[in-house]
Amino acid sequence: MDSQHVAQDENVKFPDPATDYHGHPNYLKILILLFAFFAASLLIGNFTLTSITVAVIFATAFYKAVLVIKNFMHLRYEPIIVWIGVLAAVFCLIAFFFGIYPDITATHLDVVPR
Amino acid sequence: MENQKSLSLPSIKIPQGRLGIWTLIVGEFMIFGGLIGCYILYRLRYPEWADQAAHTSTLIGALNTIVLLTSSFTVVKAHEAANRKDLKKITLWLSVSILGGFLFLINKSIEYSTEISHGFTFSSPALQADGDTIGSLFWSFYFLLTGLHGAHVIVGMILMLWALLQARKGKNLHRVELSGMYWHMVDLIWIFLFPLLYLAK
Repeated sequence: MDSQHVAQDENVKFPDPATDYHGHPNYLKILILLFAFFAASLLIGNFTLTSITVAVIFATAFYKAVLVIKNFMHLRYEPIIVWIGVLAAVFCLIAFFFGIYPDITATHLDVVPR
Repeated sequence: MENQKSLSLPSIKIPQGRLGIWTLIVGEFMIFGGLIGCYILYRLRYPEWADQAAHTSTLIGALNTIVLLTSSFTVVKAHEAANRKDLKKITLWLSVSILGGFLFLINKSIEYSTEISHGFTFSSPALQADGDTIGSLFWSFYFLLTGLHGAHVIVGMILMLWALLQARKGKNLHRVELSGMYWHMVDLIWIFLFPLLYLAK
């Protein structure tokens, strides 16, 4: 069984990385941007936390995530089907978040006994 | 050419390997997204969690962020080298990425040992004995989120090692990119865990 798998592995011609369908952005520029946003969030985190500073920290995290997913994971070069899959997951998570929001925050019943 | 065709889905023009790894990544988003969503809601419900979050080490968390961001960069450099079929560079960049994973785990184990020595565990019996079940719940979330993420770091390192061993023989170079995409997903999750657990105190 194993030898069959090896044989199959050798016979199959995998997509050649040299003719990959996507390009390569300037990765060093992306890394510098990621470090800059990371340093900014670290700096903001040292101030007294208000709802505004927390919002800025999470906006920074969200932007860093977009940089990674678009450039390092090459989502920007992927066909529409992949975008649909990722956006569907994001939509489901938002629906989940607001779906359980009242169950945890807007109820007087303690989930965990105090 | 025929073999290559059989490996891609003609209607959506994407190699099966990439489609497979994207499907896995979307599934992982749902798992971690659900957990992170619950953490945020409980944090809003119990503002006193800030007292517990004050015990996490921002320094170690920041170091681990630097390690993961840098290793994400080295993985894409390995992918670039794979496109050029530069086997030496693939070996170099993937080895550095795996080393990054080790550094992350070492930092994490130092942090865990400090927290556990202070009585903060998955169930935190000391806190529960004091009647602080809300504080104990924070540590349950903390160890669940970071432990699950740590397990993904280990899996990512194994995948990169597997890709590295094959790439050294010049075989299956596309797996450098696929293992790298998984590693970026690990990095992506940490991007959200760091401000949640280490900054929002």
